[in-house]
Amino acid sequence: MEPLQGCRMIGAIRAFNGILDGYSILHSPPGCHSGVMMLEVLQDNSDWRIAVSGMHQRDLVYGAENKCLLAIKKVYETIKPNFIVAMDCCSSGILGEDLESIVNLAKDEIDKDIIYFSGAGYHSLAYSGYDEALKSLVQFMEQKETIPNSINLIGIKIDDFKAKEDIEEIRRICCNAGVNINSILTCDTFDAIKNAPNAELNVVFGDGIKLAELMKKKFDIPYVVVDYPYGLNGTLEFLNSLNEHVNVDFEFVEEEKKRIIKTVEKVQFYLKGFYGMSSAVVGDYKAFGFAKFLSDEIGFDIDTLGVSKFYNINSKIKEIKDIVENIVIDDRKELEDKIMENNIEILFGSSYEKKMAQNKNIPLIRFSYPVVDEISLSNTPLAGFRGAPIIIERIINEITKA
Amino acid sequence: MQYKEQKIRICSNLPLHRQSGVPGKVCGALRIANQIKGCVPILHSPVGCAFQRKINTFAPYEITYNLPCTNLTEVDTVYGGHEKLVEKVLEVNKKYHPELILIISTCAPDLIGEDYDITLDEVRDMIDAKIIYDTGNAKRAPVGMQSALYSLATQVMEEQDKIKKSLNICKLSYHRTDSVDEFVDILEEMGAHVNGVYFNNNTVEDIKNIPRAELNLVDFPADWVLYAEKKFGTKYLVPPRLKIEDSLTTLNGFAKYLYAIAGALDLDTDVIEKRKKEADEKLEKYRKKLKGKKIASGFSVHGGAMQTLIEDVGMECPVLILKTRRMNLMMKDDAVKHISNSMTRFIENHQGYAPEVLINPTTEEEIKAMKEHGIELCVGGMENNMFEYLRNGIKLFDMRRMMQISKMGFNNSVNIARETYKIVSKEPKSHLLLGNIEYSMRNPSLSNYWADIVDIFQTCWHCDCKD
Repeated sequence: MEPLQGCRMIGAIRAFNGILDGYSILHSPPGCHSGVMMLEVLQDNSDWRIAVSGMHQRDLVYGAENKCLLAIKKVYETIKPNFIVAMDCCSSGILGEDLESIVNLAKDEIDKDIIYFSGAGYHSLAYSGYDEALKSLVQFMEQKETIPNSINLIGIKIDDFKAKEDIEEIRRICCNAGVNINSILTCDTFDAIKNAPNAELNVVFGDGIKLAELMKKKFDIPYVVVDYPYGLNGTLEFLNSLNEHVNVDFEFVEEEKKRIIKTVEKVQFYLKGFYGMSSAVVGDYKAFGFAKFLSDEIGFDIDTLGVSKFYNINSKIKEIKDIVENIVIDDRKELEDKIMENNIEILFGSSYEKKMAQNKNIPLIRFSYPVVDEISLSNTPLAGFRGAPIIIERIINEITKA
Repeated sequence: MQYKEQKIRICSNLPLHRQSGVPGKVCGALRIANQIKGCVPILHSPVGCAFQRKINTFAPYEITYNLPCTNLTEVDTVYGGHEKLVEKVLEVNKKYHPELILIISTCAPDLIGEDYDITLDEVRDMIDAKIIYDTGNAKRAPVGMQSALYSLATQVMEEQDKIKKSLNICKLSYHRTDSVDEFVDILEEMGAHVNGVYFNNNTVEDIKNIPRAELNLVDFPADWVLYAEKKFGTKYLVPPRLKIEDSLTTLNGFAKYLYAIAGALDLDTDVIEKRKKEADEKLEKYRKKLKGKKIASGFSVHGGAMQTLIEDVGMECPVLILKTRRMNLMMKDDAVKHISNSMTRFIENHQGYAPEVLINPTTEEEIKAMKEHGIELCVGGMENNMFEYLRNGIKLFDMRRMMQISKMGFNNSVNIARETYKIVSKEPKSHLLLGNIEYSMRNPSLSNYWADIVDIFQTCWHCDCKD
């Protein structure tokens, strides 16, 4: 079986990279570093906060803990980040490099929060690396005064396609609903993350549930697991879930609804053509919300849903089984076979599904990680009320301009 | 791939190779595997390597969609991944029907000492494809590429009867292999048999047939080249890499190289002067417009445009801008000094006077010197603040562009002259949006942000390289 997701290191890097004033250091040969670099920098040339100690071949025999220490010091001296994580990878992990001691040594000279994280790719898959990386941040959290009607967003990954636009849209919606966003894990400063326990509620977008459980235990903050808010109904469902714990003002929703319907009218004849069109959706946790939107609000039939594994995946599958014909969990080969064999007319996924779409001669609409062959500079979220018309626009344009 | 040239061009400015990172051996091996038709690589690795290596740092515009991997886990790092590898080989053979399977080893199996010979012995008779492995053990960079080539030499190439006067054109680092049409044409007219152009969309059969040639034209004597000489008797010829005056980009330099090939294979040499003259005539058009005009130049060792512009076009170079930061990371001071002396000598020999040499100047100092000497074009790029130049009326021939216009042949000079004329004859665009970013003093082609990233990477990567 070949999973649809990356390794533990990739998951952890995705979590730590969302600490906007933080820096990650990979204690590894250069390949791991340049690999994750491509996943990030091809989308955003202005944000790259991962350094590498640069183990050479000989270091895999004699060890190179000193290089990791040098990298920590150099990063601190050059960037002065508020948070540093030193992470081992496969080679340094097998070698048994003692990065905990290196981090302790660094702490003697650097007055910032530094941690060691075990990131060796063979340990686990990306979802587990992501969750454990988030969990490792609890040690820095401090509960002060609870901010009324406030929430934390957990499970955000800043390198997801249009993640920053999505966050802005979710922030706008919450603001209109009278709900304060206290901290975003992770797309926030280290200080904001430290203050996460001041929220009334943790809202988990699939990944990050381990952190939410720990925060409940340690700080008594309840959590709610929600779908990523795609479409009109998806966003309403998101607000309804919040409303069970905090006060949500729904007054603005009617206006949003009117705006969406007005947009829909503009493409009503095209949209009718989507009814019953057979599609496949490939992605991580977000794929569930996306598939629901495509099926319930646009009218696509979901022939195949390919999802990478995450905690509590089975309960999500139960929720969606009525609208999906085939579900493939974290197996690229099985997914490819299904998509190639079945009568699928449109594919929703990542850049990695491009070849499949080309082979089948069907459109590919990119929405899930990783997207490395399309950039997004404009304020065009896929999530929330504003996201619905944008997704529709992308689908129609992809078909008509081909 | 659609729009490949455009993709290469817009990705060429990413500060990758040894600036902010190094691609790693798997990328190199994959670059070779992807050049062979019918070859499917298998990564013997945890899943992360395959996930991120779909994007090759050497060519970020290309995605390797079919990149099966063995998904090694912690247990496998203790007991080995033999069973998983066997299973994956059988699966790949069944699914893709490849002609060649290249198993690429990664950090984890390298460290636990996975025995690939045993695996190959077990599966060889169960599959239709030829199967080989690569452990990434080359002595020189790019390690992954060199090692994969060595694997091809030792595991795919076969003893063959030699074809008389035959040669292989193997990738010369500063010329893309898809730009050798003129070179092939000249060699054939000289009476050579071009056995193959490698490694560029070759079949497995093409690789097997490399030893049919008497001579390999290569960039440098890599391990696979030495192996091919020893095992198959295929001699090799390398161009003069560090001799400024023999740069292959000049008419004389390229002719000299052709004479060396002719000498090695006893070929007809009349065509060399004929072709050189033809190119020289084409150059005349640009010479008339550019001769005597002044340029400044940065480091230019092999494959650079400076030599052509001075020697073939007759431009003058009164200012040499030498930035030693990058070179000092990898070379001893003596080597850097040798190169700068050679450049100064080369320029002086051609124009009759020595250039003013600026060592590690600031952008202001560069511009001041260029203005004083009436220079309107700088040939460089990797270490220059293009936007400050443009604001001051100085144009830049960025050497990254050379990688895209370079061809192997006499007409390369014509291309360089044409591109130079194109740049010189246009007004500098001084209001570019990019000009508003703050660029680094230390590394002027990069923003301060990226210059810091490069500084961090290079400090760590080169911390013990001069030991």
